Amino acid sequence: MSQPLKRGRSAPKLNRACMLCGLVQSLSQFRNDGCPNCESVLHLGDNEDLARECTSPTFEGLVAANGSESSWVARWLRIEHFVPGLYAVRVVGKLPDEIRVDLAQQGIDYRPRDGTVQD
Amino acid sequence: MSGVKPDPEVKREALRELTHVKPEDDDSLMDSSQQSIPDGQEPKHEDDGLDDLEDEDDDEDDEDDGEDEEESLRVRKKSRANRFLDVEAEVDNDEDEEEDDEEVAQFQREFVDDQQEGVDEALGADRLHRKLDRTRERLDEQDAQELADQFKQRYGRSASTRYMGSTTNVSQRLLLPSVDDPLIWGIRVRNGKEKEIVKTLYARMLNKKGTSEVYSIFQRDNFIGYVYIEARRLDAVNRIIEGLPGIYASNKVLVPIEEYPDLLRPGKSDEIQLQPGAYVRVKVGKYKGDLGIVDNLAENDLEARIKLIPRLDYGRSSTQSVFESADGEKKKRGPFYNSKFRPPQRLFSEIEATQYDSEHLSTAKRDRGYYIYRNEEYIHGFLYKDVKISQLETKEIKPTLQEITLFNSGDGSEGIDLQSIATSIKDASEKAIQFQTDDRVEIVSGEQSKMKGKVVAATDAKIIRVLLEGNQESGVNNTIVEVPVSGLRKVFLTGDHVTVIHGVHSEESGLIVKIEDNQVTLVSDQTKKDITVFPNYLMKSIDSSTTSSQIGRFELHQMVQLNSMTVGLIIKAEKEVFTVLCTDGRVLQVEPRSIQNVLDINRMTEKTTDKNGLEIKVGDVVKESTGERRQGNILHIYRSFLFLKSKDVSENTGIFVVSSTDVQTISNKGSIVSAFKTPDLNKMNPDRLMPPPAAPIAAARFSGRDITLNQHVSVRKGPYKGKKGIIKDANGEVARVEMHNPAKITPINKSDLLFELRPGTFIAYEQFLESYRVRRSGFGGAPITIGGGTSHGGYSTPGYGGGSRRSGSSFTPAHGGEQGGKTPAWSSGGKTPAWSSAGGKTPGWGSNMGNGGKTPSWSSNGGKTPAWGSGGKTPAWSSGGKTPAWSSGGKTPAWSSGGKTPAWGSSGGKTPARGSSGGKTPAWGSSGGKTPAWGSSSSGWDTIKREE
Repeated sequence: MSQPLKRGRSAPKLNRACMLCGLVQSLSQFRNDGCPNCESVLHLGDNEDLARECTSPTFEGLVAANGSESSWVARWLRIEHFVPGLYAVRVVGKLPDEIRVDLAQQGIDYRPRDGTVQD
Repeated sequence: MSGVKPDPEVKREALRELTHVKPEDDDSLMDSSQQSIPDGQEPKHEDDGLDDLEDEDDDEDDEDDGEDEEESLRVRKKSRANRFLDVEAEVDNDEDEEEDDEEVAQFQREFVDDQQEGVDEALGADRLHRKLDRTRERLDEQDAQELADQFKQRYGRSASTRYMGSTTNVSQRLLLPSVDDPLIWGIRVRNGKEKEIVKTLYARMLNKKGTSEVYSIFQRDNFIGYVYIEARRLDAVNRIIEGLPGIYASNKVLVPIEEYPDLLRPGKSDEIQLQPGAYVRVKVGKYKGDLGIVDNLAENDLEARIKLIPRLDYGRSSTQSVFESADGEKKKRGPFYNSKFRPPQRLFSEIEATQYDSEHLSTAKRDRGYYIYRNEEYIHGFLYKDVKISQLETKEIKPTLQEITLFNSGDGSEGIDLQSIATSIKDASEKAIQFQTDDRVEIVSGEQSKMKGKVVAATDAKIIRVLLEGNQESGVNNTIVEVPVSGLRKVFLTGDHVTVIHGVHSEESGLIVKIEDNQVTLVSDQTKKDITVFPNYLMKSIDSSTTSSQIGRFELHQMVQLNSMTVGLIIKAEKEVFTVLCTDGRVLQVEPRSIQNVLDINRMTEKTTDKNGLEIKVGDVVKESTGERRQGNILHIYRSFLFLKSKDVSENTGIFVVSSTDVQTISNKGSIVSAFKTPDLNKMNPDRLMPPPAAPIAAARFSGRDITLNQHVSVRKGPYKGKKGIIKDANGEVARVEMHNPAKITPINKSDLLFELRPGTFIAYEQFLESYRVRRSGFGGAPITIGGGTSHGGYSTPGYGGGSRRSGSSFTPAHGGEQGGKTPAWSSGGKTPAWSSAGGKTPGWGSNMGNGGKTPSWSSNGGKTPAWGSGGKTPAWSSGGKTPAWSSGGKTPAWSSGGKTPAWGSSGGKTPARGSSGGKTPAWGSSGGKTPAWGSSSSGWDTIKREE
């Protein structure tokens, strides 16, 4: 009980954010289970190097989304189709080039969440 | 997977479930799953929480956690239904538990059957016992996982369509909030608790009943002390936050809909994207605060390889610290450094490394200056180090010249990467960016981005009004939009002449030679080099001066102090180096930082005298009396050094330094000495501060009622000249005169008045005082002949010029201004007040000189003494300002001895020439022709010439 103030569900170390979807969870979660949204395309599970490359420890703005499509916040952040969870508004870093190429091949438009893309 | 080959479609479906991805566009599914969540998942999260509390910080444990979690979930689910449903639940996604889509369910059942058969075959176990056999169940699970993995591998591509980042191709503009969207409340929370509260509320959002209307909760680091909740209704917000510590629930703000996007802006648009070459500062560790240059960036933008100036002591102090910590750990790697205690910055030295610490040095490519020392890379003396970007300060880096010089001191001749400097300091201050009316601009962000226009007004510092014009879509032209400064970029054309208004290159000007996306390259007029800056740091300019006049706090032609001994004048101001001409004539090239300070010289005091003793000041033209006889304008005077600027001299931009004793005046700047601008040197000289002769003494002597009161006067000077009036009030030297016409009271200097002694006869103030004194002292004997009074007008500020230095005596400085010549000018060579002339004979000058026969004791030694003022024949001496320059050294003029006294200063031409009609030089000093002849000239007494 190192942090006695925490009550109820105390989150595991939320220290990394997926660069593709912005989901925030611990590195071990990424490593073990991959990213719940992006696993089908990124295959982070059981690949620690990949999990490190595709997630960023630097992110800002924590958003708790319940997965509802009526949420404007989720729509604005383009996370409305993702699982409920904690997301980052801004994720510093970009996916490695080969992953981006791979994504492009899969028809996925990678939009970096680091604030560099303006639209 | 043996035997039956499942239909691919089925597999895909199953895979979808396995990979926890929600089906697309399945709203009913969504709804049902949403409702199911609270019931289904509540216990799970409680378990979770406990687990997490047990092992908070351990990744490995986290891993276990996950498994435990999964396991418990599955166990729970299995225990409440039959086997088939069980299995179904296993592979099912949590959300889709109460799936009611028939088709999907059917597929799943089929798939489960398929799988089951395989499993059955593999395990060969009895159906009835399997329910109890947890181990096998787990194996079963693993198989399912494997299966899923296989599917993934085999059908990975098709499975990717399950990735749901669907709206990525929709412009965010179309996502702007509308009134149909939920509301967002900002809730005040305890500072620093925002993230924690978001997490807590997230747990509640999933667990707590009645909070399904809360769609999202978020926090931004920029908005300290607020957590935002998106919901349709306030009561949902209240329900979710109720009873949570750290939330100030009474403090809720409804965010206006138009501000929603600002809340969730990913980052400031002007944020710097770190680029190779950019300047950074290290935030932590031994190199904390040190400047670094980004050499390269890791692919994921999270790490950077930066170039630093090493701080090494080559193991010299590490041995010591190891010794100190002998009792403690052995693993001491080296001395502990922090930003306070560390070796100075110095380039890596191979020699020292081999000498002191060769065991740690390994040379990889010696020829290319590449070394590895203590596991760190050194190239050309610089340290190259991989640092996390989060440990770097990347914004507003302003390298000092010293640091840049250090970086340039390496043998790598890359020079300063100007672009990188510009990049690093980009948002050093947006405020410095100025937009001016008629600037061509392009909008770079927001809805109107890519539009071009012209600035029509920049009223606010941050908001610019832009008239759109010249755009493709003609509809938008001629509309005026308001754009924040950060969203604008100036547009220039190649060939424009511009001045840099901000940044390292500020004050430089040049011609644009190249324009790239957000960079403008111009050739500096000053350095003739290319510089690259942001367009917003430029301003169109017509001025094409080749010397920038001001760099930093220094200006061209400014006196600066280099050290306590050396003072010089900046004769050339370039970027980062100044050429200074010192008082001793040396020309030094100095960096700005080696200039101690600007010598703040008051122009009023910048005065000295030339070789002839004439006062010279800034602006005067003087000429060397020896040597090259250079002539120049005085730029500055520092003590006895004159900095002259000459058009004829070419070296040092025409500036040279001379001693004031070697020059003589050619012409003075401005012939009229302005009374208030220039201080009177005479007054500054305490030796010369004589008791003023007449009036003040007199004034001081008379006490009581002012004698001038109620006197009839006539104004003799100034705007009221000629008017008559009566003095109504008097205060010191100023009388308030009631004019007869116009009837008003005006303050006028008493000395500007003529007093009516008796009707029709006016005398000057001085004489008036004199007469009064005479009357009072009962010495009525020699009333002043009025006619012989003084004439003032002409010489209120006589400027004695000239005097020769040969005799070493008697040069008369200028009479001080405002007192109108009352200041005496005794001066034996300007050194001593003449007025202890013949050694030791202290004159008792202070006596009441009006007292006729009482010879002032100033005269002691017989003949040498001027017998002035004796016998009632008071010379006009007392009428202030008419003091002659007694020359000392035995040549005492016997002035005032009887009739010889020149009635100097008398009006009307009776008197010798002083001041009035030219030519009649009175030889007013008796002894042997050494008397100065008061040559007159139009402006007064310009010169004193010795007849001899």
